Amino acid sequence: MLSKEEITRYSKQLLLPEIGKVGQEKLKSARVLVIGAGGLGCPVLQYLAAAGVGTIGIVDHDVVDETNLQRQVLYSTEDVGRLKAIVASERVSEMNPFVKCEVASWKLESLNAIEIISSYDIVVDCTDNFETRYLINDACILSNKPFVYGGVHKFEGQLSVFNFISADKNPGPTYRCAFPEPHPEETMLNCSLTGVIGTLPGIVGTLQANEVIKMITGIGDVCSGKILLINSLTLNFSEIKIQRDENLWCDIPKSKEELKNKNYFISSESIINS
Amino acid sequence: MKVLLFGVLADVVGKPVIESEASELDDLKKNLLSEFPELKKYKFQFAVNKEKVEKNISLNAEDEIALLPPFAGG
Repeated sequence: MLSKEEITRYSKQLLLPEIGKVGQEKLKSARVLVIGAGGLGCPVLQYLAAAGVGTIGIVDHDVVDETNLQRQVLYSTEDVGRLKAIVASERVSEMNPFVKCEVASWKLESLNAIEIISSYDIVVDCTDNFETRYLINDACILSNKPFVYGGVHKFEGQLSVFNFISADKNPGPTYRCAFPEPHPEETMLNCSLTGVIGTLPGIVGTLQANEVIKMITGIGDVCSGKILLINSLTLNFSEIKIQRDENLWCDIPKSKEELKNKNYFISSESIINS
Repeated sequence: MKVLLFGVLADVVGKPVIESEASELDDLKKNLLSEFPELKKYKFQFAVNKEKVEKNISLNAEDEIALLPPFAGG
């Protein structure tokens, strides 16, 4: 049930026949997990909170750094050094007291991934490294959860909804169907050192939030079975169609227990320390 | 035919679009890797006419090829 205050707050959404009271109540009872409260996570959290998603989980173990402020728009100068997940949950609560925030200010790892993900309806992948992206993918497959992938590189972005179960119960492609293998180890660190224009995660993150709202309310066409490619310099938006192909899942754990014992993070740490 | 390069692959090759006259996808891959050996450092996917392909297929002059890496950044 929506309170009088909520009916006023969400009136512009309630006016949309596609959403209305039924859709708003679906948003209120939805549980969405946002993994990563950085460039993508900030707009995702802002728009999901503003739209009235009832429960939002935030996973991030990092602290706000001065170099984040150019694009991570939830944070201010005085937040530097504070845990992102904590600051983000404070901002979300200030923005919309009707949203319940669940905070995990620790790293998503093989051991905790399934447990964290299991109590949510939808996962949003706002991470900044390949290892966590493969972990999220595998944990979502084993837990039957859809997840909204966003990725950015300099002026370019990618968006897709992976492991989406359509109305006719057919599961869509996964991250491993699109990208079966990560880059070789020595290349990964280089990727993390490239710059990014601040507006780009804003654009991609807003599209991720849009997909979440569509899935919860059951409206529109979900970005499943394709990857949306965005170029913020040319404003070219294009799509690449992808198929679900379980033959490409060469490296996926067979069970939740097996996932717990798989080490997704060996490579990058050994590179960073070398 | 046009070969579109995305993300880090465009950085490696130095431009976002190149031309190729390869008659099949495997030849195109071979030519690209010999012309731009640094591409071997990366894992990427091929799409022909906006559809991801896993196997070798024959190509026509009017086809559009895309080389797609995943983006880690967030």
